[in-house]
Order: sequence, then structure tokens, then C-alpha cells
Amino acid sequence: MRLPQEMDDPNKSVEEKELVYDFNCVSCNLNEKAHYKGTKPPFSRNIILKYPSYVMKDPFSPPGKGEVLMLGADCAICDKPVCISKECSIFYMKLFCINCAKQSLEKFPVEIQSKINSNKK
Amino acid sequence: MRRISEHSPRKSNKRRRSSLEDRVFLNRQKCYKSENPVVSSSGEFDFLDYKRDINKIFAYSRDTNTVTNNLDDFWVFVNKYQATLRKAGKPVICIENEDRTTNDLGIPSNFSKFNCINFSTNIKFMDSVCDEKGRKKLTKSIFDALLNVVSIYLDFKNKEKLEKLKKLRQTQRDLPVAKYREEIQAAVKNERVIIVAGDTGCGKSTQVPQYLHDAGFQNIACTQPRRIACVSLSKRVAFETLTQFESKVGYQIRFEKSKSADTKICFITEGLLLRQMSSENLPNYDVIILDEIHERHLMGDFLLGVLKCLIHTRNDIKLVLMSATINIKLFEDYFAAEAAVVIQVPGRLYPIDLHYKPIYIEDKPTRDDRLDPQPYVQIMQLIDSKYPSDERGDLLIFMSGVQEITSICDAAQQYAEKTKKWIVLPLHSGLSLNEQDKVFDYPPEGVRKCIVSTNIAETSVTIDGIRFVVDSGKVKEMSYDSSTKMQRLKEFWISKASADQRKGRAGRTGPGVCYRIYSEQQYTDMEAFSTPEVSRVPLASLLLLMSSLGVNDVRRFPFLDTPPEDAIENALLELKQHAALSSNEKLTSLGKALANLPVEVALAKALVIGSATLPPHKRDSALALTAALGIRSIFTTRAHRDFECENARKPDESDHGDPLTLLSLYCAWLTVKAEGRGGRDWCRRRGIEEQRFYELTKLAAQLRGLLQDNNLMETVEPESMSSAERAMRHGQMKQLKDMRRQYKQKAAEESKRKKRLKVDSWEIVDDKAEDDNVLDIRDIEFRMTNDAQRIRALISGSSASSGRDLIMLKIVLCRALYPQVAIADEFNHCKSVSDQLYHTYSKPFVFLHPTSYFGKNGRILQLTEGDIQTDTPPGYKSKLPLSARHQLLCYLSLLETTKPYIVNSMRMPAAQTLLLLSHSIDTNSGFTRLVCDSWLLLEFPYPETGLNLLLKAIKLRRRWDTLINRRLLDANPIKSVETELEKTKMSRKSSYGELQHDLSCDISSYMNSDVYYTIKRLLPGDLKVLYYGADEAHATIDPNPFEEGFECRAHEKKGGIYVTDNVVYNCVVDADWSYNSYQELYGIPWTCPDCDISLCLSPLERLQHKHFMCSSRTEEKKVDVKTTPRENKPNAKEYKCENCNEVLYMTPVEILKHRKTCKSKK
Repeated sequence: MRLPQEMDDPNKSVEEKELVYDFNCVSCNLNEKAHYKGTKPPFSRNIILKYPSYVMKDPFSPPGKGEVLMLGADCAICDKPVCISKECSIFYMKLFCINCAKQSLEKFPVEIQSKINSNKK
Repeated sequence: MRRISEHSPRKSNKRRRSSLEDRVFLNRQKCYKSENPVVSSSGEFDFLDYKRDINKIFAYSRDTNTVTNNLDDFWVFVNKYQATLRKAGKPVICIENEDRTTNDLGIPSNFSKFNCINFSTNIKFMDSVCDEKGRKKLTKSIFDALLNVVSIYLDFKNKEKLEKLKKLRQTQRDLPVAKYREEIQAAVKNERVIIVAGDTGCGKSTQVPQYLHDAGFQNIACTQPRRIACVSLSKRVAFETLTQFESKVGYQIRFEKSKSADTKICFITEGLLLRQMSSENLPNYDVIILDEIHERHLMGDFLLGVLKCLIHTRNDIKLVLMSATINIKLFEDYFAAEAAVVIQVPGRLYPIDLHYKPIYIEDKPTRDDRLDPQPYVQIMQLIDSKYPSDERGDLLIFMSGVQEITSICDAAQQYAEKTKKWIVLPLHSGLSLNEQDKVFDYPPEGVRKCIVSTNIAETSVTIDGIRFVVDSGKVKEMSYDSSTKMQRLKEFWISKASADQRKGRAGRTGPGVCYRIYSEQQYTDMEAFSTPEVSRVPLASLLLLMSSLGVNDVRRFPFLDTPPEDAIENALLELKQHAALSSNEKLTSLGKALANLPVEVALAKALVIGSATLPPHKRDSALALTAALGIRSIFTTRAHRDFECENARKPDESDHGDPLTLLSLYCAWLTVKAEGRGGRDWCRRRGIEEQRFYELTKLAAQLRGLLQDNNLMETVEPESMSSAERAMRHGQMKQLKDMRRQYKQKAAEESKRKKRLKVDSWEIVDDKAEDDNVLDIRDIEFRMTNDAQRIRALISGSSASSGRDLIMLKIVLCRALYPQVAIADEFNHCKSVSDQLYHTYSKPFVFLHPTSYFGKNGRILQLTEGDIQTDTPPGYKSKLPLSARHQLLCYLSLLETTKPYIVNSMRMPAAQTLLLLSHSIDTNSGFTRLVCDSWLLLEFPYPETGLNLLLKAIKLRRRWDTLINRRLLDANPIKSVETELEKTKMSRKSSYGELQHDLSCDISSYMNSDVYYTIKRLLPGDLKVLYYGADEAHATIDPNPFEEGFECRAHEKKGGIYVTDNVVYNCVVDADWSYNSYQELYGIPWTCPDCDISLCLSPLERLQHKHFMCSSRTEEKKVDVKTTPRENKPNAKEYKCENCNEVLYMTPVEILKHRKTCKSKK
């Protein structure tokens, strides 16, 4: 699922060929196409992510403005993709899906633990 | 941002600077562990003090990102962020903890809020020179602290966007159609034809194209009956597919397209898809979706038939039909052979309480048929008493037409003024767009909207928040009588399907109530479905389009509902009269040219004739005129009621009639535009909807493009601009683009705000003041596409106010509209203007429409005392006025409302027009009585005048035909040796320009010829005794002075012989006076003025003599004489008449005739 697939657009030259990641959140099923996975999205040079994440060019802004939309990342424990909404995951230096976070609750700082617990899901 | 910096304590900060920096560094070490505020409340640290330096660094980093794109927003965020921290008693600057120990999850075991943020930035710090006294210096540590805030901002913005995305996906998932996604995808993959039936609001129009694209289809066309729906759907679907800044989803409508090679989903109007089919290169669609097919529009129905045929030849195309849940069975049966699969999607409809409230005859206060608004007001009272005013929900009343709406509105308004609980709003297509938009605005708390609408609100316009529906059960619908070519606007009972649709409008946002102002029995008696358009409208355009698409026999086309047989036959006859179809119903080259133009047949013909006849610099007049007649009326309802409006238009009215008044108003508007005086106000003062003029401009440009594409018009290179002009235009464009951007921003902001209605807003609104400051987007776009030079060219090209230009334009239009002409009733001179009667060929006794130019200025059509010749030639007696000033009305259409009316008419000199354009002209032997199209009798009592006029007309008609045929031939070059030869021969003769110029000179002098005649409408009784009847003994006329080489033949019924395709000689019986004058004139020998020969000849023979035999004919013409008449007629021989002792060269028949005339003279 996470293997990058090439967009089969014959109009684009080899250099321009984009990698597309099929991002599918295990928790809420959000299913979107991401343009990049990693920490340094090429479409916005000044933005650096601490944890390798799925990033798409912001679909709500005109192109070329360097606007990005970070969708989520692979969970640091179970390695499954999860989106960043607070019902699905918690971020603390790394992204954890809410299930894994609950199972490893005691390993987080107390402030984070209360956040995880407040999630009813 | 100024507001925020004003609050920053800039002045008092000077001394505190060093200490603050110390504290920052102090903070670096202990901030995390101690949560104490680092900066005391007395000397607060503020990032905004460093705004200028920070902005400088952002700008220098030369990168665009969320922060730099929204710098103002970012600083607002920073300010709020600081405020929150201060309120919580936390330090504004908080430096990350250095402690990097991590646990087995690889995360720090200590808490830092910055660790909760995935985002960080690598913008490099730059030391800036602080040259200004009193300003604080930005240090790296402060900048680093700021970068943390940047990260928080990025994270915040990112979450916002993700929420937006998730909300969008949720809305999509919640649509009723979403449950059928897989089913629809599978069906389209496996079957040929799929019918998706679902009511408004189920989401099929936006979702199904996406489902199919997701399923792998790459070129999806989705048709819409309305242009506006194409644009809005394409915007919505692009947004939903997250491609609003790409061209994956596009649209194509009559005036514009947003489509590229990348476009996968294209929303297109039905008409345009049809035209794509007629051009050989149908885009490579893999799915064609037809939306809203239940509306049963002409084009939609026809498209269904075309596609039904298409999928048999094109296996690679899938067909998806989408409809409301109306009459699905009809479509299922129609595609039974193709095994159509039906997928039904339940709509979202809340329960609706239904009440029948019929008006009984005895309840009616008056006997007459006038509408009584009381039942409607009573329902408003009922709603007021039954439902608390804090429960929201508006009222929608369906009425049949504008008059009914007005009378209900008046009554409702009276009630509303008493209660102050209602805002009454009319809604119909005659209103200006601004007025129409009011129905979407929101009423204040405790007040309900009462929208009184035509059936426009049934399907086309959807208004949210309707809870109550009142249905009058009536609709005014256009029907068409193909035999008289008259449209009729009549009131009917609606169909059950319509009644249900109206009821359904109450239950879209919550449970609703529907009141029907008719009985349940009436509902049961209603037709199940409304009459489809195909049975109610003129079919000529459609049949022509069908022919051009290669439908060989239109009678056998698989219509969803076959239109009445006579409607098809009459439409075919009309097409033959226009010479668009040949007598054996094959498409002619003219027909082919007409089919390409998206206006009705007669108007298309005006364009083609215009482009062949008018000089290049005047073709814009034909384009503008056609476009003006091809769009909806430019006038608002106020235009003809408001005295001020009528007066304001007066100077631009043309006394030649409505089409030229339209043209003249358009030119006046263009002049206003050229002078940069806006135009909106100008239009409002005249009761004109300015939008129509923009449409007119666009349609004219589109028609010009089509004519050029079809080689019917030369592409004229625009005059090149000087560099100064170019520079000016460049600057202007930049300014206009700026204005457009501003407008779009404003519009986006405005759309977010709810528009509030005022309780008294139905009263005459004086929105002048607010309008003046508002940017006019249409004006901006108009100026972007039309530079000053272009507008000037349009004005000079479109104006035809006098002289030859005017005459040519009128005759071009008249030729295209013929036989749509009307003649005044003979008793009109003793009637008032509103009672003036006219007669058309197919429909006697019609009136002039009261809003038309002649409806108000009828006198101009009548003869004055001075026009009538009282000194008639001896022996001639007639009750009819003898004049050279008889006029005809040439009209665009007939419309019956309360009375049958002529709409859009133009006056023409009668005899000249008729002799030039009639399909058949019959004459007596003396050419004193001419019958046009077996309908109008012209009598020319002065000798030779009739003959001369007819002769001129015949010659002009031939020259004109040649010119048009040459244009058509050039447009569709048939590559054969003969035509090539013909062409070279013609081009050698003379250029287009010369021919056009000569023809227009001659036509205008012909149209102005002063000839006295009477004109009379023939009744069936007259026709019985008008013709001699068939007679085999008729002589042939040879040589033929009317058309050399034309082979004369006898007319089977009328008698007499054809001397041209349109003229039958010697079939009309003489009246006493004409017989006597013939005897007087032609019974005596006639001396040729040129060769002094004296003979006793009939008018025809005199012509023959002049044309072929007169010895005065010059040397070079003698060659002609030798080649044409003698060679053609081998049986001609020399003949010496015993009576007159002349030696003549004649055929035996001619000899007999000559003998007869010679004897009779004795």
C-alpha cells in the first residue's frame, strides 16, 4: 500500500514524474493521495518535519505558494499509517496511533498521558 | 496590523532593552523547569516589537510558505498567542529544554509543548543593523523563540486544513448516493446503459462523475440543460476532487470553456454536446452522463435519441442517464433493447403535510375570471396563527405567470404591511438578476419570506428554508402551432408530476406543509406527466440539426416521444422554403451552413446572407442584429410600464421597427462603454437588463467565430496598435486584472456573510448609491476582452442608421425572415392604434404587440393623404388607395397571449420587397396585375411600371443568388474540375467587393423606386377566379428575356408558363381595366426608341425585341445575339409578316403569336 506508484501521465517528462502515496488512515479511513513522504517536503523548502510524514500540496491553495497539507505518518510503534486528527493519533516527537499510544501509555510524559486518556475512542 | 502595533508599548522600551535580553538568556536555562513568568507584568516582552526585522528575514528567505503567504494573519496569531500565555501567567518566550534523553520509544520522557508539534522551520537568522534609535534589536535567541511560534502556527493552520478536508469527506459520505458508489461503478463497468434515478439533493450530479473517474474512466462528459449549472458543478466537483487549481474538472458552455488536454470530467451543455457530435471529431469520451433527463427539454430528448443510436456503433462509450424519480419507466422502456440497468437512490425528503383548499365557484366574490388573491392571503394568516413566529420556515407560492404573481404580491404586501411579519418577494425570469437573487437572502428574526414564483422554482431554482408551499395548480406554458408558426402562451393545469415536485419543495430542510388551491379530485384528473418540449416548440432548428448529423429520414428518428406528424411536416416545409433542404429533403450547402449556427434557422440565414451580401466593415451590423434577436428580451418588466424609461429610450428608437431599435440601443450602449461611463446606470434608466447586452456581445463574437471557422466570413486582421497604444492597453489590462481580483476577493467575503433582507425591501429600492462604489465584474470582463479600438470597430460596424447600409441590412433580415410578412388591414386608418389589425400569410387578424415600436407608433405604417395618388390613370377604378408608399411588416414571430400578436417587426416597402423575395409571382400578360405567393395582389395601373419593377427584381434576385451561392461554394469547395473552372471564371469576372458594392447600390435604388400600385390581400374566394387554369396550348417564350437559357414550362394548375423559377407569366386573369389598358397600349404599333422599328408587339415581345433583336445593340453584343438565341433554337426561321411587312426571325409559335397580335390590332 505504501509503495510509491508513478502517475501514468505521458505528458510529463521523466524528471517531473511525481510519486504518489496512497494514504489511508487506519483509524478513520481518511483516504487521500499524498505527494511526498519524509521530513523535507520539496514543495516548501523552509518547512521541516520532525517525524517522516505524508505530505500533500495544499489542495485549497493555488499551486506554487509553498502551502502544504501534512496528513499523517506511519505510527512509530505499529508502522501503520494514521492521520493527525486528535481522534486518531497523538504526536510527541513521533506520531503514534491512538491504539498503540494507549497500550504504551506509561511511557509518555504525564501531560501527554492525560491527553491520550481524554480520547474516548 | 497597524492596530496591533499601536498597542505595543514602543516608546517606553528604550531603557529596558538590555535587561530584557538578560532575562531571555536566563530563561533559556531555567524556563522549562520553573514555570514562573520570566518577564514580569510590568515590562512585558512583545514579539511585535521585532516585527519589522522579522518580516525582513522572512522576505529575505525568498520562500513562500504558510507564514509568508498570510503574514498579517500570522501576526494576529502571534498577538493572540502572547495574550493567551500572559493571561495564563506563562512566559511568552520559552526556549526548548536542552535535555535530550529519550526512552525506549525514542521520545523524551520530559514534557515540552514544542515536542507536540511536528512542524519546524529552517529559516536562517540574519543580523540586521539597528540604525533607528529606540528600536529593539532582534537577536538570534529571540528569533529562535519566534520560530517556535512559527511552528505552532504551521501546526495550527495544518490542523485547520485537515479538518476542512475531513469535513468535506464526511459531507460526501453522508450523501444518499454514497451508499450506491460501488453499485454504480460496477454497473457502468459491466453494462452499456445505466439509469440513476434520485431526487434533488441526493448528490448524484456531483458524485457520480467522481465515482466513474475513481473507477478508472478517463474522459467523462456530463451534460446539463442549463449553462449556469455547468459552471457551478464543475467548480464544486473540482473542489471535491481537490483539483480546483488544476484542469482535471472543466466545463464547456456556449460562450466559454475551461477545458484542457488534462480534463477528465467535463460538464457540458446538451446543445454543445450535440454540436460536437455533428462535427466529425467527437472528443474521445468513454462515458457520457446525461443529467436531468426528466426535464424533457428538446435538446435533452434529442440527445437521448442520438446516443441511443451512437452506442450501437461505438462499443467503447458507456451511457449514464440521471433523472429525478419521475417517469423512470419511460426511460427504462426506451432503452429496453440496450438492457438499461436502473439504480434508484432515495432522496432526502422530510414528511410533508398535505391540505387541499379548493376555491369553490360560489365563494368567488365576482363573476369574472380574474384571480382572487384572498385564498392565498388567508393561508398567510393561517400560518401566522398556527405556527409561532420564532419557528423559522418560509413560504413559497407557485403561480402561473407574471400578472398573477403581481396581483398576489400586491395583496400579500398589504397584509405584510399590517402584520410586519412577512417579506414578499416575486420570482420570475423577467426580473433582473439582482432582483432574482433577493430570494436567497435572509429575513430578520421573526419574519418569514413569502416568495411568489412561476414554475422556475419547481426544478431550476432551489431555495433553502422553505417550509410552506402553496400551489395554485396552474402553469403558463408555451405551445406552438406549426401551421401558423405562432407560439401561444396559455394557462394549463399542471401535471401530477409537477404537483408532486412543487409539494416536495416544502420538505427539503425539515418537515413541511403544502396547501393546494384545488381539489383532490382535480389532482386525480391531472395528467401524469407534463407535455415534453418536443411537442410544444418549433422543430425547424432541431430537424436541420438532425439532417446535418446525418439522420437520413427524420420521420423515422427514434424520438422518446414522437412529436405530432404535422409539426414535423410543417417544419420540413419551412426548411425547404428557406432552401436549407432541397425538394427531396437533402441538406443543401446553405442548410449545412445554417446548422452550424446556434440560433434559430431564420436568424442563421440572416447571418449567412449578411456575410455574403454586406461589405466586410458592415458585417458586424448583421451579427449584432442577429444576436440581439437571438437572446432573450433586453427589456425588464419596468421598461414598458415606467414612463421615464420609455422617454429615456426615445432618442435611440428607430422608426424602422424593433430590430433596428435594438441595434440602435446596442450601439448607444457601446458608445457609453467606449467612453468608460459604466453603462449599468444608463441601462437602468432605460429599463434594460445590462447583462443581456454582454450576452449579445458574446453571442455576436461567437457567431463571428463560427462563420469564420466555416469560411463564410473572412478573418479580418485587427489594425495593429502603435507601441504607445500597446503600452496603454497593457497598463489598462493590468489595472483591470487588479480590479477583477479585488472583485473576486470581495465576492468571496460577501458570500460568507449572510445577506439580510429588510422588512420593507419589496418597496421600490433605491440601490443606486450602493451600486456606484461596487465593482462591476461584467464591465471589467467586457473591457478585458474588448479594447477601445475593438469597441470603436463594433460601433462603426454595427450602426446602420441610414442610407444604403440601412436598406441592405433590412433587406438581408427580411430575406431571411420571409415569408414572415404581414399586411395592414384595409380599415386600419379608421381605428385606434391598439386596434390595428394585420394579416399574415398563415394567420389573418393579428395585432401589433403593445410593447413593440409600431404598437406605440402605428401611424407610421399608414398612408398619409399626400401619399395617395388621386389622379388615377383613365379607366382605372379601385376602392383601394393607389400609392407608392405601401408598407409591409416583416416580423420575427407571432405570439398569442390574450390576443395574437406580432412580435419584433420591421417595416418594408411592400411591392419592392414582395417582388424581390416572393417564392412565386404570377402575372397577367400585361404585367399590370402581379400576384405574390397566391396571397397578395399588386396592381400597377400605369403602363410598364409593373413590368419594369418586376424585371429589375428578377435581375437583382439572380445577381444576389449568385453572390450567395458563390459564398457558399467558397465555404464548401467541392474539389472537382468543373467547380474549379467555374471559380476561376468567376474570380476573373470581378471581386467580391465589387459585386457586393454594385449589388447594394442597385438594390437600394430599387427599394427606393417610385411606383404607384395598390395592394390587396386575396381571400380563398378571390383565388378561385384568379387563374386561367391549365391550358396545354401555351406557347413557350424563346428567347426568354427574364432569364436567358431558362427553359420555360407550363404551370400545371394556374396555367401560364414559368419564365423563371419564381415567375409564372400569363396565368392571372385580367380585370376590366387591365384588359382595356392592354388593348389600348399594345393594340397599336410600337416604335422602338432605339432602332425606330415600328411593330405591334405585346409587352413581352417588346422585351424580347429590346434584349435580343434591336439593331441598335452594339457590335460586341451582336456576337451574343448570334450565339444565344439562334443556336439554341434550331427551328427558328425568317418570317415576313403580311400585316406589318416586317421581316422577323422567329420560331413557328412566335410567328403564330405575332400573326394573332397583328390581326387583333386591325
